[in-house]
Amino acid sequence: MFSLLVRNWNPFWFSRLDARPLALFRILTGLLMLAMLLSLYPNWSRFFAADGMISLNSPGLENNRVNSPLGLFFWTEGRVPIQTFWSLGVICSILFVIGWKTRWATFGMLVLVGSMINRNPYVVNGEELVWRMVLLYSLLIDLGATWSIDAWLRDRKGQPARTTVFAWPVRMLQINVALIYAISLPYKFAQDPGWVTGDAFHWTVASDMWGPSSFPWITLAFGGLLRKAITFGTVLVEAAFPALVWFEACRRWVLLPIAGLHLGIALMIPNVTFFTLSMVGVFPCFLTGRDFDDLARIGRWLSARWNSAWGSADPCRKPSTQRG
Amino acid sequence: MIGWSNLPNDVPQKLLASVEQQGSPQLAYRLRWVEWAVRWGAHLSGLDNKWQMYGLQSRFTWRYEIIATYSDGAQQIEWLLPLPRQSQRTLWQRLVVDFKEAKFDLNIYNDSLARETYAHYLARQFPEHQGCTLQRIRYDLKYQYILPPAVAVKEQQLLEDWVETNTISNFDVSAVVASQLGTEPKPLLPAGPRQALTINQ
Repeated sequence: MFSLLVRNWNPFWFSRLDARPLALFRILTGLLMLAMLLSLYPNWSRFFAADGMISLNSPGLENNRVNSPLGLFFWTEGRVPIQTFWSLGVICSILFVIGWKTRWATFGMLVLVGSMINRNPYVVNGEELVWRMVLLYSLLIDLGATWSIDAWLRDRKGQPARTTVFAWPVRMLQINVALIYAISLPYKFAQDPGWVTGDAFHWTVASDMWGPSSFPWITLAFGGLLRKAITFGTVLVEAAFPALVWFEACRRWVLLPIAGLHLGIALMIPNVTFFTLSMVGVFPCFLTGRDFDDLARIGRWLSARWNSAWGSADPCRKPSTQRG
Repeated sequence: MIGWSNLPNDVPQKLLASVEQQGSPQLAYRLRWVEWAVRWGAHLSGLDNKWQMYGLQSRFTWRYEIIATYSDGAQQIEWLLPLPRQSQRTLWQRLVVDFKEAKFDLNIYNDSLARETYAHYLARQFPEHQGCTLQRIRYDLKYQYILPPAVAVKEQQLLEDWVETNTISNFDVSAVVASQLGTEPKPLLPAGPRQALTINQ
């Protein structure tokens, strides 16, 4: 085991990785951040303005938990209207998605997300915490290497294409994501016996706080067997992911279930949709170039099947000249 | 750094206390300094999040009813404020716009100062109602116990029938309203010669 660790140390940390998975991560995460900002628009001032719910200038009130000096909003208070930052956030997230001035866009989003967290911690959801973490590592990753305006501009200037990125910042990001599951699982067992008995899902479904109580049958059906299957399935998937995602033989087999788990949560629990999708958006970092090659092969095969099945029956198709 | 930040709160303290008891005070001092530096590094970089996704599940479902009390001296009116999660919302608002409201409710559950901070905001938003001035903001916690899994399956329902109500906060916000609307009505007649002079000018 130790020799295996030593042998793989350098390739793991200091090789170069295919840039396409990171580009997919950038696009998905950027789209989600954009969607979150657009959803926040009606509440932006209510959440973050000085006279919003943080009541910065209210007489006889001193709340030190809000408006921390670690956020940009603290320093711009009274100088820059808070709505300006929403607009800047939208611009940065669009730049991040299309990969134009990618490093600056990453920095802008990191500052914005950190400022939101430090301004009003009472409205912080999991997605901001995940994004603050991944954007910090993303500063060190060449996210605009491919599938980006930056790459297109480099190509126009005749500069060589960048198809790979340094592995070490990506590995740090991957380890941090894996740690989320590795840390939360023991807490689950320690804090709630429902995770041991298979009933934890019942308490989630029944709580109005998370919103899935409109599907009560999930916990009541088949004498509760479905509930137990979902609870233990969640434990299994969350335990397998941080342990096995590092091994090529099982990497896809743990990535697909955990992405499926989060997509299921996103559909069922509307109040945590952005958090759970933000995790899905990070999973492409665990993909490799081979995954993309295989997907392209499957796409070509499906396209060929489609053409052979429907292509000749297409009435809009021009008749072949050879036939005539 | 991430692992250390996620240890149960008392574990680092116990470790350092045992070093202090069994090792030298100098070593304990240095370790405390390193521990402080690690925590601050994690805090500044934003890597000190506690990851406990759905660790502890609540055994009751709950929601707030935030009620404002208005008075004009003679009569008192109570009004359930038109806020997310306690008023009629469109599907778009419920699914998209209100996505942070549940977490906000959860985050202020154990934080009386946070509830007071929000009450001040509400006082500025709704200072008057039907000609009466806002006096107090009250947080009623409405909760319903969740039936244990076996009972729920047997009875094919999730919640107990009765809903309990507890008032968890009742803030006097008249000072906030006064500063919003102006402290006192302007006197109709000048109170003294200086003021009279000012008015005559």
